[in-house]
Amino acid sequence: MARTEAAARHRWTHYLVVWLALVGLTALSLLLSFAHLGSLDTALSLLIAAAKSTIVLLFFMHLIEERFTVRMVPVLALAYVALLLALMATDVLGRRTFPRAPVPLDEPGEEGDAGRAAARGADRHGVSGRHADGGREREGGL
Amino acid sequence: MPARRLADQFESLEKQEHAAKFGLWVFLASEILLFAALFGLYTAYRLMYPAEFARAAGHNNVAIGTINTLILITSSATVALALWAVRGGLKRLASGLVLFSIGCGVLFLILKGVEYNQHFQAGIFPGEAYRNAELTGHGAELFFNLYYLITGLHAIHVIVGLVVLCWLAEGSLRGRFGPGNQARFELGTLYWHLVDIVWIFVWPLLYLLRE
Repeated sequence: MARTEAAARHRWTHYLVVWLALVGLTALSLLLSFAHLGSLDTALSLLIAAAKSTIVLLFFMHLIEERFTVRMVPVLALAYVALLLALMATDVLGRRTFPRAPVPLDEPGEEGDAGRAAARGADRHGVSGRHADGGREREGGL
Repeated sequence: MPARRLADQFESLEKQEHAAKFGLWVFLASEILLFAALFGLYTAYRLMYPAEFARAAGHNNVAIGTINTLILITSSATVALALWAVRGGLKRLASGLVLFSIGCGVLFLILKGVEYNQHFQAGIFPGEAYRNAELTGHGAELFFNLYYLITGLHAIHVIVGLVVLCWLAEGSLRGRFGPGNQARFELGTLYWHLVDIVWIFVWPLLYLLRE
């Protein structure tokens, strides 16, 4: 009980100060977004958002006065979020796709075969157009 | 004020309240993970279509987004103050502050509705119905699909939070909460703060990081 009674001892100005800090950070984030700092934009606005949510967690949700077992829960949740976001970003940024053959045409007739042959030609000679085009002409000629 | 009842399985009221709070935090953690999945999708698609995302975000109404941010931050503060008032035995102040917070939540939803309406006017609909002529391409459509998913899920949470706040207001008007008997009131306020925290991240991602 000692912890909750400690919370009751705050004066109402305590919450006013926290609210002012949140409003100040919001204004800062808005102004920075108008400055258009390029690649810094994302990092700064997310940093400010993280600071704001930490303030809400600690002072409005009283996490700062909680026991370790309660504090551990959001910390673990945030660790999982970090893992999820990091792995998703690694996947998207580090993904390598091999040059694919063009999508087969609707009718698997002569044209489709020619397309695939052209793609094979492109694979053999590299993608720089001339050889691949030559390949298509030859196959088309048949 | 009804006395706090101790359930059979707990040794003391303190342990009972600690268990209740711990359980609610675990629930809030699951909510964080739910939104994190959507933020993860946002991250992935933003990395794939950076320019189109920035252009699409520029179409959102920064003024409405910012006002809504301030509304939620303010309502979070008044809800925290209401808990402080309950602890101090100031019942009328507590119910007044909760009612003010409910007003903030309703105003937030109205502004969200105004914004949705602006998007519909511009032909920005979710999914297949998308037919905006200026912002074309997969990136823009993905951005607005995520916009509707994230803000829609958040709006559902605002509505649930408003129901919880109504329950708190009713309880404090009837004197069900008071000094030493604020455990349930505190759990209700925690949920409302979570709604605020989610929006703190939605605001830069959907409104500020624009072209």
